[in-house]
Amino acid sequence: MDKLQNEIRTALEQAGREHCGFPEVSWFLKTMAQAFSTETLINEKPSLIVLGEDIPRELALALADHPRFILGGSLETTHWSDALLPRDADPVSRSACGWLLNDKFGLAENAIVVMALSSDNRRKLASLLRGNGIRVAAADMPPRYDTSEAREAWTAEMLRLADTVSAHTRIRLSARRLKAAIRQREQVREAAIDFENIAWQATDSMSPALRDIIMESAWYAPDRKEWACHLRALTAQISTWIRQYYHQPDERPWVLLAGSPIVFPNEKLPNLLEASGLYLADRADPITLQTDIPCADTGHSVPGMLRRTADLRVRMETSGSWISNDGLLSAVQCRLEHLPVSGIVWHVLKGQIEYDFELPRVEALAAEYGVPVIRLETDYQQQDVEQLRIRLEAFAEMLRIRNQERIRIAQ
Amino acid sequence: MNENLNITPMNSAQVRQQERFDRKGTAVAEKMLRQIRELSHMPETLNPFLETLESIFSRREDALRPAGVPTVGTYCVMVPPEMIYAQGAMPVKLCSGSYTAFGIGNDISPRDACPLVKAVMGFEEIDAMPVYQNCSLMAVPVTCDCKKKLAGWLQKRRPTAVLHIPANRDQDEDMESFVGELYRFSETLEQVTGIPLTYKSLADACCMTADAQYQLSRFINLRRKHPLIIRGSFSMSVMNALSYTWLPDWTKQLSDLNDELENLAKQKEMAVKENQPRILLTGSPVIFPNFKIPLLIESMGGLLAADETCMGERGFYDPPAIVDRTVDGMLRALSNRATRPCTCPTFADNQRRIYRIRQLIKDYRIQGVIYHVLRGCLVYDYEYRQLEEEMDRLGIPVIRVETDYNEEDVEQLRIRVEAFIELIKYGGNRS
Repeated sequence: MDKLQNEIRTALEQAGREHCGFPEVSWFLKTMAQAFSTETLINEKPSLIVLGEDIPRELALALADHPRFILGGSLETTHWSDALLPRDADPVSRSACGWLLNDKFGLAENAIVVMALSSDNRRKLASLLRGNGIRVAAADMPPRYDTSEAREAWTAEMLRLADTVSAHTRIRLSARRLKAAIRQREQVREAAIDFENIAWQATDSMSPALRDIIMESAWYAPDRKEWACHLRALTAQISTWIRQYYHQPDERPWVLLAGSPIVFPNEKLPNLLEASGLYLADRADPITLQTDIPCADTGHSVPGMLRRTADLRVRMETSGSWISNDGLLSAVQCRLEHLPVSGIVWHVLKGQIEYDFELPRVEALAAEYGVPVIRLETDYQQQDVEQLRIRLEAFAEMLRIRNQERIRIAQ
Repeated sequence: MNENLNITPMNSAQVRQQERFDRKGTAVAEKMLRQIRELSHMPETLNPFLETLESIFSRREDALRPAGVPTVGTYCVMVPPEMIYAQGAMPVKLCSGSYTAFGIGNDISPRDACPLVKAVMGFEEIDAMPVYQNCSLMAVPVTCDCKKKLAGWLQKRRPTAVLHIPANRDQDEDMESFVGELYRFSETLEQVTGIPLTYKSLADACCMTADAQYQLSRFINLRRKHPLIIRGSFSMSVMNALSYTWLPDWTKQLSDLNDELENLAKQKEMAVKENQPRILLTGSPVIFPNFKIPLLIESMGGLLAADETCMGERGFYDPPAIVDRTVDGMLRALSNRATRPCTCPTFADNQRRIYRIRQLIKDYRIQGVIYHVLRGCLVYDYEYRQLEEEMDRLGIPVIRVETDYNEEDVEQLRIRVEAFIELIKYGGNRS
């Protein structure tokens, strides 16, 4: 437990040092620290735990007053599940398993765990959790998204899931609750979009790792409305700071980090990019891209709203559960068009083979834009940090030379 | 189905790959066939099955079938062959065990993809195997992440039908979803063959598979004899040959083999001695020519008494329980047959695999279990722990053997298998 607390504290302290004194930042860091504190982990007995990002957040918020989201991310929790999972299981599943099955705290004691069966790891994890006495409601995900049948299947699965969860939480999924949850999520989304736009402009305002932690804190904040208010306040503070001070143009090569998700407290790659002289302009991974997915704005019934959600999500979702992850590809393309990105870092967490399969398509797309791609395979361990640093420094060097060459030719 | 297929002429790298395949591809198949033929007590009527494998992998011929019948490549046992036969085509199972194709696929697929998928991609890339190239349609059930991505990759090159396999199978909604998939698959088949699915054609196809299943049940009963009447490597060859044989022909060949085995049993001419350790092989599929593990077991003094893999009897044994004699009723029965008794680890809860293995241990008097994991085959790896615990309760020793499609690890595997067999022989079996 001490090691887990140490891991979280280190990640927060490191991120907390790297900003230009915005008072509002401390609220987000406190929220994260609170969400992962020993006291919370031991005493919190949520009725609903949502594993991963594939289940719409608004649905989870409508089904329970305080759902707990588990996204993975912790090295220490992966150690706790070492004996339970095969060697090649991906670190996200390992970590999620560690959060739920350990002898330190019982997050899942009173909870029903909700997850989408979007990969081999998830399917078998669901079985493992059930085998260990945890109540699990799992939604089967269709492998295609481009047919009306697939959207109907997705909607039907979500309705089925809602029924199972409602029976446990004793909260009926009504249109009113779902609408309220949609409004909450939309507030979070709007605030997040404004913050991201400002953060892009002010590259020296805070480190990318801190920016990501602030965004990720939305999953753990007890009150989403309050979170949105604080984020707006922070956005306003950054805007003021931009206006008040002179900012030298950032000459570091901008890179896009795409592929497998980066989850707190595993901020290894954002920190490494920073240390290698690269600026992490944006991320394109299933967790970050949740912000891009709009909420269902119409509908008066639960099935109607879920159907609309299906339409919106399946078009933009970047889950590995799809046969072809076009959502992720179009997100990368969108960022290549709108940001002055010099390179792409394609991040593959060990065992997440679905992202490895997408690499050739990303490389082909990046080639059209003349942007080089580097593939980094890693897990939550720290042993490979130096190898990764050497590779990233070489990549940064190459990008700098390319950028200088481009400027020289332009002149 | 993808209508805009992207077919491009071969570049120099592909030409080189094809040359490499020409040199080495058939050699491995021939070597494995030679090793199978060298095993003692080979029944004479096994030859047609080995010849089928030889014609496909060594002579590189297409699957034998009546003239004008197109072939549909399937990538899992969950595609009901009855539907394909009923709509005027022949199913061929294209999951591959070729080392050379694996080497070629290795260059174009992610490093951690499973060897089976790499081999399939390799075959697709080199364009040198008629049984792959002549398929009019590919049917890919999405049973794991690699198959999912393989389906996307194939879709860009070939007409491909993707079948969503529900992750759960105990509720009516799961079945409904798979029945819907079968209806859509039937429409795709109709586009390819021009033959609709009718009551008569489907009933005839069910009768055809029922004949084959009857012969298979005879064969399984004979396999249960103690001491063994037929070696496990021979049985696996029989089941592998099914993938490339016109079903009535396979049924006839199996009937002849059963007759011969019955005669041998009457004359007490058993294939092996009584005291050899009886081993169950389970886990990732063993697909010809990757017969490394079965041949190792049998060459090291063990007996491959039974197997629980999707390329074995499991893939064909269960008959559909047809109660509603309509097309819809039959499709529902096929859907049930394909998923409910299936012990594939693609399903979230797969407790029935443990029951099945316990049953096999009892029926075949198993003394040790070899758990075969193809590198990257995560779903099977997940289930090992549970099986290990169960075997521990039963007092049956079990080892996990992780391997790839190459011959480099044969010697290490030999040492492990030999040690395991000795362990059983000299008191490792606590049952």
